[in-house]
Amino acid sequence: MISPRPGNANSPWLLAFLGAALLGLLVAACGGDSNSSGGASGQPSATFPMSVTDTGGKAVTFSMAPTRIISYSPGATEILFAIGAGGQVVATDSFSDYPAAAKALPKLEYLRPAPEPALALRPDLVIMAGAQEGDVEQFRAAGLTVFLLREPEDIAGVIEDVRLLGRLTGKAEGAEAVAKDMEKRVTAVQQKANGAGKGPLVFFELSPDGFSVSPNSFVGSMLKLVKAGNVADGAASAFPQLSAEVIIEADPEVILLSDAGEWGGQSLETVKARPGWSDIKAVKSGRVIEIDPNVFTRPGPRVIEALELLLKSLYPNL
Amino acid sequence: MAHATGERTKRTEGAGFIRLPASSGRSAAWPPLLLGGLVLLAATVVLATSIGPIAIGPGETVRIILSHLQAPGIDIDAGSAHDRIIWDVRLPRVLTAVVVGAALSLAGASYQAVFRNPLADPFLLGVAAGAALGATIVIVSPLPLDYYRFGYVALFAFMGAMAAVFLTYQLARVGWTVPTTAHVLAGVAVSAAAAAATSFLMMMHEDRLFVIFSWLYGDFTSASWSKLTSALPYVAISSLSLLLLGRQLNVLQLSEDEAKTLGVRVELVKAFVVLMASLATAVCVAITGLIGFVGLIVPHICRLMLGADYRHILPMTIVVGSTLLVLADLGARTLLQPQEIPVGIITAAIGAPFFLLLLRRQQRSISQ
Repeated sequence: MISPRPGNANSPWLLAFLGAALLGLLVAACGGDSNSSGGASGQPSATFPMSVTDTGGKAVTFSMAPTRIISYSPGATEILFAIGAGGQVVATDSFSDYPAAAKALPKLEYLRPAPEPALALRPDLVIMAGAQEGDVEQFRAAGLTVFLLREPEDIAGVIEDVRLLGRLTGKAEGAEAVAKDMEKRVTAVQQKANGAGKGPLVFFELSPDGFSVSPNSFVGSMLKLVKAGNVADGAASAFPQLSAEVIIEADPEVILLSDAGEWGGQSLETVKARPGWSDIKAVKSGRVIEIDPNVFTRPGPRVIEALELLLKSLYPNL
Repeated sequence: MAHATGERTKRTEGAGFIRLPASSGRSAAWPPLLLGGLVLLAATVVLATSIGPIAIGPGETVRIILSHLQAPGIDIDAGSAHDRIIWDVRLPRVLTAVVVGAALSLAGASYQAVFRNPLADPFLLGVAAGAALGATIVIVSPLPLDYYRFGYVALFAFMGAMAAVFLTYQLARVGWTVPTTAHVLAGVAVSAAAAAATSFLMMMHEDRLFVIFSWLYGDFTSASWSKLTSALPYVAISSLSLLLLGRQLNVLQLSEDEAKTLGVRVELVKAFVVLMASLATAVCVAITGLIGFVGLIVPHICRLMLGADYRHILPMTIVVGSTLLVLADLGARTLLQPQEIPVGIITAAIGAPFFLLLLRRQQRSISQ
């Protein structure tokens, strides 16, 4: 879904890009990783000028690597810093708090951002996430170069984002290294999970009133990857609210709390005190695990840490 | 009383309000109707407790409940998943719907009587906006979200609701009298101010939006015995007080001067009714969030059934309101299982068409 697709066939930039890509393929054939699933995103090198189609279907043209980037996506911010493009970022949204260098940058509104504060920073690239999709047109009308990067649905999509952002920031090599490392670690996790037999049943809690993640959410896809069962399987929406009785009857072996500590104060103790919850397997065995929602739900390079943590907490004997 | 209802009809027609059916001839039917309603409510409670995403037969449901009530000779698998689901999860939830449905409906009828306005509902005087502000303050603070007890969220929602009602009263008060129109307008102003503060907090804490909205929608998912028993004394006191004031509310339907000549201390009755109805509403909002439409439509349903006599309407609102909300919550937890639907969506879906129907009846009766 985020792989760049060729846009307008009559665009001279596109022809230039295709030519460059072909050339790059010939020159650096040994560097390519062949398991990229969609389009040209697997190509580690690229030359400017280039045109890349964003997730809104718009071909965005770059005459040179952008040096003044605004990121409205916490996931994209983490990717940019991980691939060595952090120095090209001049400002981020208010949620982009990782790594520390990103946190120190000037902050802009995440929801309904205004174009003016962005214009004042003279960016040559504005990366917007799904939350700002409605603002893209206004920003473009103000003369800004906007690249819409909707949140991917799974880790494979994050890895595609890494390569994509690498290409359009001129940091393809750094991106390729990050992407390769992520792929290697995903494969390792998958192999271990596959060898561990049937995975435990998990309840992933977003808030104490029963909101959870179904298999067609990002976190749900990670649960599938480690072969865990999901109490919210079969729910209609991505973030369903489950009745307490459904959770009690399902009797999950592990409960993951993304509403612990500063995120809502939940813990093994508060879960145990809920009516009817004390005899759930996860509560009795103490497998109620507090996690950092930013690491788990933000589509950046740290999802691999989340995945490895998931493996470790679901299969303690591995 | 015939004199009173005659006056009422004349006045409301002049004001363009919904004409209330005359009570003569219908009031005789109210004891059997109330009794029938109570039986229906009891049946609904048993039915709703035995239906849910997890299938548990009505026989097992009743046995589990009886065993917890220390009935002799009942042997159940104590502590089993079904036992916990029925006793710890479903029954407190259904009974919370009973209490909240009853309290909101009774409060709605009382507000409509005091303000002589058929569009009055329990959230008229800023209760909803005040509660939302109180809950939002806790949600964006580092305080724990103890949804399953009468904890910080419920406590602050309750205090916010009562503060809004108090502020509304103070703003509208002229000496010891409170002009009705000024009171309603003050409610609008206080609601707007509280909503603005809530919106500002949401803007400053975008990462908590999801939690705030899920509270605002209102639901019974976190119902518990401890929350229910915390709320019950307030609801019981305020409801009993309101039930005893049916005659005074009837007299209030006259002009206030006439009411005074009939020996009713108008300002005192109004202030007391508003206080009691607000107390009941505030406690309900504190434990379940905002549930709309019940407090607005149930009094009208009861009026259509029984006429305009508040001595009959008030007890009936309790029966009809609790039955309706138990059924709405049953829909909320079963229609899209295993997922919940916010119960406010269901009450609005039932309430809005009903209200349109009511308006059309009124228009027809005016055009005749």
